Amino acid sequence: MIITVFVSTHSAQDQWRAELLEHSWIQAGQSGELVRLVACPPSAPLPMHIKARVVRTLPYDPHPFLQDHFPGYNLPAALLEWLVTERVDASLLLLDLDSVLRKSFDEEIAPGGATGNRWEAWPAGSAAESEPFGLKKNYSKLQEYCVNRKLKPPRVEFPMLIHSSDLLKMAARWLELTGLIRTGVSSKSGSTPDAHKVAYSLAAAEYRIPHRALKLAVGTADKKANTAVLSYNQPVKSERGKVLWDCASYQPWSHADVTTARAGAGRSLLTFLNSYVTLRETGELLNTRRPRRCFGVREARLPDRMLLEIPGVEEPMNLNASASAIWNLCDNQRTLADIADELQKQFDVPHEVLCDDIDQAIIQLHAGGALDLDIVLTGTKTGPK
Amino acid sequence: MIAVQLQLEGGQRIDLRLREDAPELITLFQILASRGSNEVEPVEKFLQLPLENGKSACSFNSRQLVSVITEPPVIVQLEMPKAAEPAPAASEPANSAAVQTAVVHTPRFLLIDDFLSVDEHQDMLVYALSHEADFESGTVEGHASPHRQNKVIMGFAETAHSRLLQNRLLTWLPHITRGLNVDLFPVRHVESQMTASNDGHYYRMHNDAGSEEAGFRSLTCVYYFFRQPRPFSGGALRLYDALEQGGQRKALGSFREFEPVSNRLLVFRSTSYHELMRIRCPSRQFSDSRFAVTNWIHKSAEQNPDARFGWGQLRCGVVPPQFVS
Repeated sequence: MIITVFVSTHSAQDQWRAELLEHSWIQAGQSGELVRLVACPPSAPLPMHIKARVVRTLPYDPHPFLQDHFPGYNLPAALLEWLVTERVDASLLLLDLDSVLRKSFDEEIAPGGATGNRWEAWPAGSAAESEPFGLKKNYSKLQEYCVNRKLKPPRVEFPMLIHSSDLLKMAARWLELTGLIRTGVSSKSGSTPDAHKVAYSLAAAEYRIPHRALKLAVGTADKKANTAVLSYNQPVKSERGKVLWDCASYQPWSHADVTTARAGAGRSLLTFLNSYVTLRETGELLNTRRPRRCFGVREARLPDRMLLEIPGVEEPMNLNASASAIWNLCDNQRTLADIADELQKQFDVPHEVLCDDIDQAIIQLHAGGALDLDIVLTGTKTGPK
Repeated sequence: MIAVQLQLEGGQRIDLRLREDAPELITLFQILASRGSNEVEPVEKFLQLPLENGKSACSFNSRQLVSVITEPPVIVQLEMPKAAEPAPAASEPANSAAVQTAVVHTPRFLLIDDFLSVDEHQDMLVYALSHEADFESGTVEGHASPHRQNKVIMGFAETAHSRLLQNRLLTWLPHITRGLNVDLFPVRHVESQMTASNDGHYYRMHNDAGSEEAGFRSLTCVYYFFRQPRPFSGGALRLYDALEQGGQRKALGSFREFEPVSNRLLVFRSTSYHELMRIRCPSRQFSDSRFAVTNWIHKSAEQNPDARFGWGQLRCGVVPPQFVS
């Protein structure tokens, strides 16, 4: 099984990105499980998803022992915590939050080797700067903290396909090296935004996990969108070079101007985004989701509500009248759109309100383990082409 | 239902499931608790317990019972008649009983394989082998020498190797405390010791928080490293269950055993009773020793934002606000 994992915070900016990534994962027909690790304080409410499993992890921005503000710490810290806590044993597809999946990854990976996207901007030093690790001179401080500085790190970045046992071996060192680079490496701008990426490569080399570097992802500026992953951490520009869309300033869920976008990956991304926004607006998303009751769920009917007893869960789930009505219509045949139609006949409620109620109830039932959602792919795929 | 494992004399183990309020469970704890008390007569009786939902039963004399392990942990209120109770005063009821609470602790632990990278692990071994002359016989506060036999390198804590290990360990710390179900605490000090154990060496049962000097030790972290293939046998670490009663804690006969694995870290609470089993090393060569670095993480009663650890950047003297639940 391939588990697709991405790391985020619980901010609103991360929520729309996570939803878009989830939608692309469904549309690409990726098999296995989708996991969203959310680095947030214990008191923060967890976001909910229709398909992705949401796991809370400790927040590492700022780093707890360095007091250094850097979002990159969350990546190794969250993955380490998740691997230790859940004792995961599977192939992992690690994605950046600022990316969408265009094609599925079908081949699992065995322990002892990984595949990553080729990192063209690796901070390589000149021939004279051979140590440590062939990096630029400003990384020389690492000599104090690394036993073997002659290793040649793999020049890779996310997306990454790696076995969980390999990632577990190196994750703590990855986290540690990120901190050592942040505190020990000087740069002209005074910050090292790629510290976590360099640290990943060094940790992989130190733990002897060979990586193949392939072209797995394109950015929004690429002329062709022919890879499995499309990354949008750079803005989408017009033919004349004007910035048309930037993820940092995007208002979810507004339509983006595609017409003047430069042909290629950027335009492809905006087309995909717009199609998802339309699906949300028209309620057509409901057509593609068919709830399926999980095996062994037992129900107890009370006058004003319903209790669901879910195998392996101590507390029964409490459903109010509207959630009960929705649960009653989940017969493994109806899609969410069918359920909405049925409820429309029974209750005089505006369609948007009904759709919201269904969304909330289904998310609650799914998160609680009472329901699973099958994806019904109808017609042409809407993934970014 | 409670999963119960009984250990009997001779090493026999019996697994059964009992209701939380089953009288048999109370009886089992009464038997154990009566042995450690000077105030009550040891309970001795013939016991029959149901197995497989009553399809079969096991029978034994209570004298044979060594320990009881329960999952989840069970806290019971034991009512035990005192052994030499003076005649009750007129106002007291005739059946006055002493109420004691007995808790069986099965220590939590954490194993981290591949703790150091390939080169770091090798480098640690090279360090140990090149410092053979610096190893001295280990001593234990408050015990005569037969309590422990192995060799210790003094001043290891000041070395770069110790700092390398400490930095990695503290990187893991939030995950370790979570795994052991301990709240993250402000670190006062990380004590470090490198040991070499060779033929006939052992360390009898003890806990690391036993002496006044070691009073602030909170976590014991043992990092193993040695040549491959393993040139010795034995040397396992036993982690004992303990019975806590009336503010006193004592080790029980039941335990979990950990074979030494090179490049592995084993972590447990310093209050846990443990024992290093005797090592057999036929070559008696120093280089064939079972090497270990033990780090004890000391808990501080106060927050200290100025304290630095590891390579000098980690401020573990304070609990980060985002980790406070």
